[in-house]
Amino acid sequence: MKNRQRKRELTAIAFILPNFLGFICLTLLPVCFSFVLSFCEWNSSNPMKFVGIDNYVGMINDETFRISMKNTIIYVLGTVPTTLFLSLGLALLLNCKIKGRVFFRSIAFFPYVASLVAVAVVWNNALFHPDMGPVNSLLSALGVTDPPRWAASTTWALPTVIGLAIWKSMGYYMVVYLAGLQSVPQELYEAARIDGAGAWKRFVNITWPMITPTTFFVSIMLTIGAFKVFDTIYITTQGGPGRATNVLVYYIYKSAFVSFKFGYASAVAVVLFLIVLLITIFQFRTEKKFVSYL
Amino acid sequence: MNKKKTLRVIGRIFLYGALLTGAVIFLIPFAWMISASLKESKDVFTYPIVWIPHTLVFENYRVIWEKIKLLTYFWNTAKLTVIITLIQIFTSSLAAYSFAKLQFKGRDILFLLYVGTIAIPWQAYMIPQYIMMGKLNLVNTHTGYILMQAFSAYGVFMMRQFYMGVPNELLEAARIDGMNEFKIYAKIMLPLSKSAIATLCITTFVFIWNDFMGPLIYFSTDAKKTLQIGLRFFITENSADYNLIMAASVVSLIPVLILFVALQKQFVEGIATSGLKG
Amino acid sequence: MKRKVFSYLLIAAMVSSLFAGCGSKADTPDTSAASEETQVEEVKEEETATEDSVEDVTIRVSLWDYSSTQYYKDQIAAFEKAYPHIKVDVAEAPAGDYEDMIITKMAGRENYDVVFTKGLPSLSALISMNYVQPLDDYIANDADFDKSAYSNLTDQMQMNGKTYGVPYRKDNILLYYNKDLFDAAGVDYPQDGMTMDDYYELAKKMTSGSGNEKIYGAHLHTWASCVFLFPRRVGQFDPWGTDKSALKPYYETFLKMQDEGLIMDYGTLKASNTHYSGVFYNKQVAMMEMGTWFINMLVENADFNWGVCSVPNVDGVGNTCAVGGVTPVMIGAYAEHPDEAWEFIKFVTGEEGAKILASNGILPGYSCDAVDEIFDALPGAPENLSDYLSADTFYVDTPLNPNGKEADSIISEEHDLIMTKSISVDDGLKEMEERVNAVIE
Repeated sequence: MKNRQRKRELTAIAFILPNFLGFICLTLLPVCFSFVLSFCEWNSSNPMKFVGIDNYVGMINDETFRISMKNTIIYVLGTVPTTLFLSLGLALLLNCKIKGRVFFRSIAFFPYVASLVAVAVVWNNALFHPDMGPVNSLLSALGVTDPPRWAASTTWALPTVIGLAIWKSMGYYMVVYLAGLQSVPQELYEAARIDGAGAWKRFVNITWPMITPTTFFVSIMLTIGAFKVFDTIYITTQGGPGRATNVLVYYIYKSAFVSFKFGYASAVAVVLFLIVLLITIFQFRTEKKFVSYL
Repeated sequence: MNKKKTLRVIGRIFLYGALLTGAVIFLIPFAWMISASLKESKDVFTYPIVWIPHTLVFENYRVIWEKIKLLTYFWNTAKLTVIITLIQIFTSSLAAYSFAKLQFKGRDILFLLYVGTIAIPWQAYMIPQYIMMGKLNLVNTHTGYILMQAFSAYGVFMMRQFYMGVPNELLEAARIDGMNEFKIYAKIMLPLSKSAIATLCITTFVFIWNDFMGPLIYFSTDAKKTLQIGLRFFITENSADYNLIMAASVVSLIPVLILFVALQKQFVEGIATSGLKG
Repeated sequence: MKRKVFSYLLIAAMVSSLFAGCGSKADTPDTSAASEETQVEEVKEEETATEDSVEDVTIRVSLWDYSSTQYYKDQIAAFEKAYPHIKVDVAEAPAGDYEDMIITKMAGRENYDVVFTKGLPSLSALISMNYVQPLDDYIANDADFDKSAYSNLTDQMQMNGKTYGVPYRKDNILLYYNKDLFDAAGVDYPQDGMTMDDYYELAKKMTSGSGNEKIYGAHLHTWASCVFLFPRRVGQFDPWGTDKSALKPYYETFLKMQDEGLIMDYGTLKASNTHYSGVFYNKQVAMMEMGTWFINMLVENADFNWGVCSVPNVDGVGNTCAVGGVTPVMIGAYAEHPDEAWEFIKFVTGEEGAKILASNGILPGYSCDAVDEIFDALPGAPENLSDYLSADTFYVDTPLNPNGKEADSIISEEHDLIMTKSISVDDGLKEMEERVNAVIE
């Protein structure tokens, strides 16, 4: 009996091994290094100097760290729920048997693959231009006397970037949801239809519970992605105006490649890692409670 | 009955109206890319946006092949993307099967570790990783880059979530029939997870196709460089030929779109689970 | 259990080997790069084997925009002709990402012999990380090298009493103007020695039209240096200094110009990534402050007459001093052929290299009459152009400082806030002072 148990475990490990070996050597190892680095002072060339928890203590009094932490949290709260619901809605809509759905799906996917530069120009320059953009024209027509200056104002820059990020990534998570929706057995719907359940009831009783693993995946990936946002900021606002859109990873990048404090950058990365880990563990707990795996 | 039908028609009209409006909004970036790709460099950022340039500079689409070694970059990118995507799908789906459907000690902790590392930004460990790759003589080789990108935790996580949805009864039945785990994986799981594989395929493909910093740091000779590096060569210290960048971007998008449309097929076939206990 | 212990040991061993590599100074050179180099050498050797028996050396040169920049290619071709036994192998990166790349590469002990860098803040960084070598021995022992030809800029490349770079290019800022627009408006051309008020009045006279047809009197690009170089040119501003009040009148003037629509809105320019060249080429602006590299761009792209003069300042100081950036070139810390690298540096920054740069409309670090003549003969260039290229006093945009790059980025952030009117000029300058002082000890 024990032998069989053993064999089972070995099989399980054998399945993981090809990916795990590569993962350990090429990702985990440098990550461990970066963890150790967070307790050191290092400018990439000099011998590393162990400084204990100085880097972590330093964060407490670091105004830019606080600003980027706050911005990151706002960004996460702003993007995650909205993107999740919009992409689910889009997926449900484009999973219906309508004409041209392949066409519409491809188009919704488009902003995700389009060059970020193009997306940023269209968003900031065509749609949200402070003086002549259609959005502000509409607001003026509705009687708003002083419409926001969007990306050019410290108050509105972050919401503008959040909007851009949602718009850009919605199509991708729609695809993930579409894949999830395909694994819902059709018989369940047929049975429900025979029982006379309406569209909403079918969604609540069948679709939603059946796609919870996907929702779990999407919510974790969106959360991690939002905590890790970099490219969008780097290309659209560079953290500005001032520090209005400075987020954690942009700050990590600047600490490393502008201030050359690699130890400090690693420490911020470790803090980011711990936050995301906590949230992930929490989400795992909820998954165990709510997700039904048949 | 007739009233119901009219309602339905009106509903459809609204639906398609909404879809078309949405489509137009989603297409604006693409329209801008094409429009910019047909302009002269100095006219790209004029405001208000001129959507149809006064003179269409189709020349841009020829120039991009001459100014940089676009063909070489294209070939390199395609090669790397295809290899990495294949390895990624194979190893991720194997590992995911184990995380989702097999038992071993420390499974959940290990999985959490996998997912947790996704949270660490690459900028934080980029230099240690580069130094390590240097020690292994993998810098400026395609092999090094492939190894670096092919074993991401992301793919494992995504595949595991899809496998979680596959009913355990199906596997138990197969086990009773005497199938070994690998056979179950190959004969039952893989065919069932076509849509998930398609998703992972698109994800990895888009990611590698658009990756910039990795190739920039790892490839120093021209013969090894990729598309995204090539695109940046149109932005020099004091000038930025966004018309050429957009022309090259439009060209580089074509394979991605073809792949996407081709994989669409996988998203319409519902899972075949007849014969299951409901 | 045993297996677990073993795997922990394995990880520990791997981590420690990684540390050993990063921490210790004495290290074997990057073998992958070396093997690549030998490959190149082999190919080259086949070509030259019959000609002479002197052993060929290949030096590795790191720079940006190589494939799209003609003068690099011209210089390297001329160098290889003059020094047949030295071959040049270029590693390049796009300009925008060059600095991040070079730091990463040098952390991996890349054996670049010659390293170019885009300006003094990043030179400071490379020096403080020991990624470049001091050049004092070469400068002192090489009779061919004439330090005085560089407007004493080599002295500005010193840190801790050692010189690390030779100026390859220098780019002082000038006020460019569109002569056609001034002629059409019947307004006199801008002149040397304008005060900020003169500048404002002139911009006001030149602003006309609206919508797509609007012509702006002046253009202020989005870099922080576009403002602080005005007082810096007349020696009234030190970027790393404790007092930033010298900037106040300049910010006030530009904000007034922005409010009155004499220059384009800063926030919009920034959010839309608008390049300064497009607005000038499209005749949307009458005057624009920019570096001397713009000469080359205008020669190639402008379909109108243009002129230059010195930039204004509060006191109306004319064309007696200049300010701008310097592009230094250095020897890498892990160079395998430092002597040949020095020959290369001497060549590209010397008279011959300077002539090649000048004929491409690029201002070399090296000053001589030949360079001036080439500039004055550029097609479409204003006749007095060379008067503005070799001022007696040349201030570098930012002095060397180990934390210069970080302080530079702080100045940019506060500049952003002031120009978008998110903060008052006084508060912005106060914040700039406090934050810069905290970084520069």
